[in-house]
Formats: sequence, C-alpha cells, structure tokens
Amino acid sequence: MRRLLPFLAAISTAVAEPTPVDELWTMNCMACHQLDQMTVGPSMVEMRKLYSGKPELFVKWCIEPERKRPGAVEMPSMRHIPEDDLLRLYSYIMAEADGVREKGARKDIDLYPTTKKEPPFVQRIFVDRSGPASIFVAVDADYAYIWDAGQCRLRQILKGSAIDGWPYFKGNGNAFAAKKGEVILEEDQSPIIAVRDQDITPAFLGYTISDGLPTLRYQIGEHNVSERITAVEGQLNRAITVHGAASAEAFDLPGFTLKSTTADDAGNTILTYTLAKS
Amino acid sequence: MISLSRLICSAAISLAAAQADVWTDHFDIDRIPTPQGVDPQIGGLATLPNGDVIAAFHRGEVMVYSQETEKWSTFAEGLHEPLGLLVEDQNTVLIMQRPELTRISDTDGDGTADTYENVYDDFGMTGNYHEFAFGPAKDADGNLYVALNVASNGAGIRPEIRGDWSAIGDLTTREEMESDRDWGKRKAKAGRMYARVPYRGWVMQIPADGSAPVPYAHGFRSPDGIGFDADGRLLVTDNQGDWLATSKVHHVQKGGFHGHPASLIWRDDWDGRDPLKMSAHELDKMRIPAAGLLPQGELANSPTQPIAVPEGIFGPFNQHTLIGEMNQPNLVRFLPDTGIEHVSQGAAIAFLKGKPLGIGNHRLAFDAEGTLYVGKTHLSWAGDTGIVRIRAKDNISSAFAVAGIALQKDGFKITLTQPVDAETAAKIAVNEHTYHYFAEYGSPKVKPAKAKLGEISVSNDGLEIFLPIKKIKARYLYTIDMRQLRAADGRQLLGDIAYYTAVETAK
Repeated sequence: MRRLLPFLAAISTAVAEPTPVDELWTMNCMACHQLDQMTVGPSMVEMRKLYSGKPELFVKWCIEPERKRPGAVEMPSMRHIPEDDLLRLYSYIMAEADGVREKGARKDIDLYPTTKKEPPFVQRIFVDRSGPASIFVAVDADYAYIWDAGQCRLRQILKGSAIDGWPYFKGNGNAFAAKKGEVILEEDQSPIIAVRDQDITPAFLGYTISDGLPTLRYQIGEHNVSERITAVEGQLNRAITVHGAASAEAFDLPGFTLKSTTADDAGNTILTYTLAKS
Repeated sequence: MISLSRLICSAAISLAAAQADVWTDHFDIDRIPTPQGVDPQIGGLATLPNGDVIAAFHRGEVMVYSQETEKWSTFAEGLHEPLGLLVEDQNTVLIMQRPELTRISDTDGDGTADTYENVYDDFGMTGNYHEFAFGPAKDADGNLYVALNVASNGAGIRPEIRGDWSAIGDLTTREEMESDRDWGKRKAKAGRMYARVPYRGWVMQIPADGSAPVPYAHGFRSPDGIGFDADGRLLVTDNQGDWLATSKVHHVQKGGFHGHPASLIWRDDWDGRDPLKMSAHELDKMRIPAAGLLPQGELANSPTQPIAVPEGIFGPFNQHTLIGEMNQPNLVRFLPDTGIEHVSQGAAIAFLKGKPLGIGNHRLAFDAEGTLYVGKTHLSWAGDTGIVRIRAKDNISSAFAVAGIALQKDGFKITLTQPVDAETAAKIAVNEHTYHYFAEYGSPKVKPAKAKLGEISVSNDGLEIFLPIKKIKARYLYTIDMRQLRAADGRQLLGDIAYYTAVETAK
C-alpha cells in the first residue's frame, strides 16, 4: 500500500535556515514599531537613541519589557525569539535608523469625539466617584446623571451633559471618561430606606429606552422598582415606580422634593420628585 | 539612503504576494464599508436571519449593514466595550459588554432597540482596564458561556469595585491594590495578572433553564475567543503571557483548570493558598494542557474567536474550525486529532495568510450563503479596523490543503485534499520543541531539535503521507514544514506549515 520513496528523507537537506532579519522584523515588530514615528511603540530612531552601543540592554528589555510611558501599552515579552535573533534585530534597527530623523508623534486626537454626541444618550463607561458598572445618561443639553448598575442607585447629577470618552478609549479603559458638567448632587446611598437599613443589594434588571432616555429597572426581594429621570423646561424630574403599593415614607431623597404620588393602571405606585433648585 | 518603510513595504508585499496567490486562487477577499463617524473597531460580529451584518463597535454602538442598500443603521448604542455578539432572532441579540451580558431587543419593530435586559452580571469588576468580558457562545442545549479576563498589574484597581474581594495575595487589602503614584513599586507583588474579584479567569455557564450561573472552568488569562466547533467542543483561546509560554486553544473541560493560576482562588473547594506561592510543578500536575499551541511570532500572537465553518461551505474546509488572530496576517485552522483517546490535541495551520486578509482579525461570522466576515480591532495594541469579506470561488472544491493530521505510535499520518507529488513529500521537515510552564511572560522554545524522520511514504492514491518518527514525545510541539510539498499538478499547499501539539503520544 505504501510506496517507498527512492531515498531516505532523514538525510534530506531541508535544514532550517535562519529567518531573514527583515522577516523577523515583519513578523514580530512591525505591527507596533515604525521607522521614524512613535505609533503603538517607539520608532526605530528612538530605539537607536536608547540602545546605541547597548545591545545587552536591548535584549534584556525585549525579554523583560516594562511599562515606560504613561498612556502607552506595555510591550509583550519577545522571549520566544532566540537571543541571537534579537541581536540580529538590534543590528538591523541600528543600521536602518542610522541618520534618520524622528517625525513628530501621531497627535493625541480623538477621531470620533463623544463630546459631540447630541443628548439624549446613554453611555456605559468608567467614571470617577461611581462603581465600575456605571451608566452615564445625558438627559438634555443642561443635565446628565450617573447611575450605578452595580449598586442600583443614582450616584451623581451633573449640570452640563457632555462627556469625553477619549481618556478611557485611548488607554483601553485605564482612565475614567472626563465628565464635562459640574456635579450638583451626589447621592451616597439608596433612596429606599429599607435597602439602607437591611443592607440589601438590589439586582439590576436592565433598562428600556423611550424618547432616548432609559427607565432603569431593578429588583429588591420580590419588589420590582424602576427609575426614570427626565427634564421638562429646565426642571429635572425623577419618577420612581414601585410595582405594587408603596408609600412615600419608604423613601428618602435629599435634594429632591416630592411632587406627586400616583398610581398607574396596573396599580403600581409612581412617586415623582423634582430636583430642588440650588 | 533607502527609506526603510518603503523597503519593508515592498518586502512585505512581495512576501504577501507569493503567499496570497494560493489563497486568492480560491477566495475573493474584499472589504465592506464601515459607518461614517464611528470608531471602526469591531468587538462583536454576526449575521441576521435576513442576511444583514450586525456589528458591535468599540465605543458601544451596535449597527446593522443592509446587504440591499449597503448602508449602516443604528440598532443600539451606549454599551461598555462590547466584545461579543450572538443573534437570537432578527430583532434580538445578546451582547457581552464589560459589566454584563445583555439581551438587546427591538420590541416594537422600528429597527432600533428599546429593551436592554441584564442576563448575567453576577461577577466582579475592580475597574482595572484589563478586565475584559467575552462571549457569549451557545451550546446545542441553549446554555450560554462567557469568559472573563483577569486584571493586569499594568495598573491597580479603582476605589470602587463590584463583587467580593479576595484577600489572597501579598497585597491583601484593596487600598494596597489601588492605583496610585507608587503602584509601580508594588505591582510585582500583585502578580503579572490577578483575579481578586470573582470569577476572573473563568468561563461561566448561564443555563438555558434559568437556573443560577455555573462557574464552569478556570485557568484562563485573556480568553478573547470562545466558541463551539462543529462537533460541539467548547473551545477557548488564550493569549501568550505569564504562565502561557505561547498562545493556545483549549478544549474546555467542565471543572477543569486550564493553566493560568490567578483564577484558582475562586474555586469552591480552594484551600486559601496564594497560587503564586505554589510550585509550577504542582500547578502543572493540576492543569489541562492546551489542545493546540500556537507558536508566537510564527502562527499567532493573540488568538481570538473560534468558529466552525458551516456545512457545505468552503469546500474541503467545510466544518473545520477557524480562529481569528490579531498580530499575524492570518486566521488559524485547527484540526483536532480524534484518534487520541481521552485527550484533546491537534494541528494548527495558517489560513488565508497574506496581505488581502491582513492583521487585527478579531470577530468571525458566516452568513447562510457562505460568506465569511472578519471584524478587526486593535484596542490600542497592534491590529487594524474594519470588516473584511471572504467568499470562496467555484474552484474551492479543488483546493490543495491538509485535511487532517493523525498522530500514530510511530509517526504522523497526513491526509490531503488532493493527490500529492510523491517526490516532494520527501522534502517535508519536522522540528520539535517544548516550552517552559512558569510565571514568566512567554517562553523561549525549549529543547528545539530536528525530528529524526524515517522513510517518508505516500499512499497509492496520493492522498496520504506517512512521516515515520521514532520517538514522539508527549508535551512537545511538532512543526511540520511542508513548504516544499506540491500537488500532483504542481500547486502549493493552502497552509504549508502545520503545528501539531502532542499532549500525549499514541498508544
């Protein structure tokens, strides 16, 4: 069945040749390093400045890189490349960059600025003074708020609704998004007294969107609660709907004034508050 | 002075051209446009029942590309770093975003989502930038699986976290683990990657019957790829780094530890030890070795989503597993070797290698007509943006490629899709090496050597090659270099270097 070949493959001459150095560069380095311009990592020109006459330091860095520049990503180790090849890469870089001048780095410009988004909108992102599962909501041109989906509660109300996501996006989440508005209210605990007293963690259910704004839903034991913040003629309204009967005494919202307590067709209680004017 | 960029460019083009020929002989590769004003990094990609493409973008938009109008429309927005998308029906998708698995529906049929339902968020977040979340993948019974990245000591944690805090580690308190000016002095004590909130480094199962999510498997580092192969195996890819000598693909085992130790502390039965204080030897005995090792700098540096080629599509590659790859201009085809009992192992081969595909290959999706879409990203590392479209040509059934590699007691049996020129089979070379398993970032090749081949033989029909090797070693990677191999009609292989992971030897 098997047909023997006329010669021994064991003595075949297909001995692995060393990979050409430009191919090593293409396979391992080029995705992040350019000749004369910082991109993901420093240019060859800069590497030449850093390591000229110091091949051993270059090899050491390749094997055990560290994070050197704020905002830049850490280079993965090049441990998989044999030391001889790293030295060949070193010589290659030194030769290629010889006499070349560095161009200015790519400008730190956001090509897709979130600051230009028209409210109303929702953007989940890292923001300071709130949990990692935060929801930023631009209500209108004047108001925004931050709702913490981890704790199921409002965290901040801001005057001014723009947000700059670039600090987050350029560092892959290694910085908070920059809120452009002024924080005019911070809520440090749940408005539901029972949640505070009994140290309950409500379960986040999600949200529905109507007119561009979310109605945030969560569950406390068997009770479903929803919260919706809107703005009407410069006034911020906050409606808390409790599925079933509820009394305003169960709530405590410093900074807000209770405007009405009503019931919908299903018998759910709707408590509507307005943000007190500062 | 010759411009280096030009030099590299032309070198890359000529290299790519030589390689691309074999692929573009059988595949049409082009791009679809991306929407104006949207950061075109793709976190999730799928096709809808009507054939339209749906994509989740880096900054949280979910948009639909109409095949009819060739225009994009917004389905949903505002998501937090979505990194996976699964279509439930024409109006409903599941998206894995950083903080939760979310079901997003258009309930009133106006083309825009109105309902964002939290399906699963009972896992921790420290606010560390590296805590990505991937998935979901769905099994035949409707259970969902998501994968949670561990944190990186490139930064500490944020003042506010979600979930329980584990005090296991040299830095026990949250205050010590917080990012501040002195983080650089403390970071080594955190471990290169850490999992101080649950279930970082785990694959979680969300049962179809609505019962509580199950911590399903652990030992993952950066599992940016989760999916099922055509035979229902749950595959997860992981990225070279600490405890990962090279990138790899795992066949996930329920309850199994897959090698990165940070996640161990969230095992129910954990004894409270700091995994970083355990010996590599002890951890090695606990771990499930990867089914496929993907050598860094040669095949894959940062593998992504596995996907099964649908039945009846891509000719001889029908039902094969393809895996995305970020840094090399190729996908990876993984061929499991089912002949080794109780062990998952197999061969990995570059697929579509060359410039037309390019780098940054992150998310893969097929439509019913057999078009493969590849969504690209970079996330500020190496990569690309946009969506590449790949369609097989009519001649795909005649493609010359490796159909399978079976490890036998005394060598490898390579099956081909077309008859080989037997003379060229003698030019196959095999190299072997293994890797270290340790806390260091990546590993050099260990004990690299040329494998001693006996007499290579070819079956009468030219479809099988046997490579006799005297001493095949367990836990070794065999690089089978078939660059000199030619079909009987003179063609080159589509994918001419195979990397076979011998977890075990054949009995």
